Amino acid sequence: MQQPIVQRLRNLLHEKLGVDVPDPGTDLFAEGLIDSLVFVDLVMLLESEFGLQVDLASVDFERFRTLDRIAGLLESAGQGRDESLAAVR
Amino acid sequence: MARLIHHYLRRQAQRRPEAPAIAWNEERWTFGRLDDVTDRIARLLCDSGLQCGDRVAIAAAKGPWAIAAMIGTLKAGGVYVPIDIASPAARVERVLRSCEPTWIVADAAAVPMLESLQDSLADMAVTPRVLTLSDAPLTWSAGSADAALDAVFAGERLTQDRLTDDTAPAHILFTSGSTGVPKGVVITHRNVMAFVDWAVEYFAVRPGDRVSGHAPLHFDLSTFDIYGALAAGAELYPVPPQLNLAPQALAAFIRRNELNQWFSVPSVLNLMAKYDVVQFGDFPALKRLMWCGEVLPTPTLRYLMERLPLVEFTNLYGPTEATIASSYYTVAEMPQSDTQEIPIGTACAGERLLVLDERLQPVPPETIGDLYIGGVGLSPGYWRDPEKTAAVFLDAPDGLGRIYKTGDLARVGCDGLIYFIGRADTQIKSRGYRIELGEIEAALSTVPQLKEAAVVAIDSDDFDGKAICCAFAPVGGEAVDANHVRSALRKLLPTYMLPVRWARFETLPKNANGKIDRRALREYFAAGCERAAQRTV
Repeated sequence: MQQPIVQRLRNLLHEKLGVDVPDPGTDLFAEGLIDSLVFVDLVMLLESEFGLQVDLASVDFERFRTLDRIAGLLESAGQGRDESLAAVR
Repeated sequence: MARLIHHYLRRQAQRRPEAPAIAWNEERWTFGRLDDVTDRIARLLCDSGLQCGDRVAIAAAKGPWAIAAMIGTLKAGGVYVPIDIASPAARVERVLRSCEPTWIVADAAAVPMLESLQDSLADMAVTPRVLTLSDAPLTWSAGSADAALDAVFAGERLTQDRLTDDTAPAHILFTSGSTGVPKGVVITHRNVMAFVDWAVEYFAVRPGDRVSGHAPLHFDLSTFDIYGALAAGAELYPVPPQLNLAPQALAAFIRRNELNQWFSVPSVLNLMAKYDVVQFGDFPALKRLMWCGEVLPTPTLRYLMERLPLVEFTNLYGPTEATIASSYYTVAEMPQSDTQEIPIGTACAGERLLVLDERLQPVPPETIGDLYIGGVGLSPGYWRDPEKTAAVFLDAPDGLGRIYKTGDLARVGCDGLIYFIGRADTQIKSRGYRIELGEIEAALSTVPQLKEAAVVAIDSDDFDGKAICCAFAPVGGEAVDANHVRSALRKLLPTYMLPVRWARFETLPKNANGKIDRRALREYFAAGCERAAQRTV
């Protein structure tokens, strides 16, 4: 059931960050779509929209490399307790 | 006997072979190991017939192995060319064609790109051999004698110098060229050592100091990180590039590794200030913080000075053509306002900075002129480009050697210090990278669906420096949007050169002479930024 999250992520990136992601598997870093000027904004967006808690000082960047991976991260973080995530799914 | 860059390492390996030289994730390289591995790489290169002055392209991700390949090349008498493996294959191809390497040292990360280039490079006069920094050699082409790490370790060490002259080239650094072709700046052993010797003494870098390696290896600031650490016997902490994505991660890196020295481009420091990731009294081990590459906004400097009262802050200035940096200014006291200018200061030892008018005569104090640099850091010129070299490397008007026309505007203040004013042309700095807008426009001209296109740079805000903006007009009837143009550019340019703001026109605005009106475009984008305050891709 990742499709709705991916689609919502795509819309959010377009609307809030001005970043158009061609494909859920696109490497956001290698393509330069997400760089140091946007990454922190992206994480803050995930916090506000999905309630995702990320410690940026020790973050594993690999988990943010594609929309698919971010969606997977949101799924696994949402399993169980987080209501905002449950609502998304 | 000539002094050569790798002698720094030899000396440390003799004195303190067990002391740490490089810390990379969980790996620790001692000076002894680095000396041993680089001797073996040098031997392998020599035994394969590498001649002094032959180029060796280093296509490897940042880390101890890429550094070892660079030093191994120097020991073999070769000239290394660091390749930005994150840039598109088409750009890497242009660099390889220009420098004609006899060897390419590649790691696993670079292998797919090299394989994609194999056919297009087949017509080169000399097919480069590939040394892979892994266990499996690359099958680059049938019959060529490629090698892998096992051959490095199976071989002997090379401990004799092959070079006898410190004016021999050590590396070639390719920077953005205004006509779309990257240009190679040739840097000699003497160039590098002149700056490193001065800087290690001036900054009092000590054995055992932990120093950052923030700049990418194809960027000349990294030569100070690496060779400064080797000269002083300090331990280099190359910064993993992905940490740049989050200033919190960079701050944690400085904290966790108890770095004593941080050297980077200002954009990184701007991000730290923007997201307020530095605490009061943070980084207790940090002794000095240096920046170079572009102007550090005074608000950022004040932010850092307030929080790090025991740290010494130094502004370094200088283009690649004059090797790492040519002038310095150590900030004496906290700037009193956010608008106070920070000078680029005075010349480093052996360098000279001149502010001249168009007849190459010195301008009076407080008058803006062109900034020229002369002295020990001056490159012999551009790789195989006597025309470009002659255009900007000139004889000094006072007969004291050569001077380089930086293209920067500056003034000498009444305090005797030099102040940077801006650029005299369309070169810009974005996140520390030097970018010719012409190179981006040259790439745009290859997009067939475009009738015309132009690139301008605007100030985005205090913290982000310049923003590259692209205005384009498609050929009639073509359904071309910004995403389309961006994808086309992505195949030709590194990501840091990609425009971040886009606007589609039917026809671009023209001035009275019929030329594209860049001022109007700048105003258009600046107004748009105020409205949107975000990217408009």
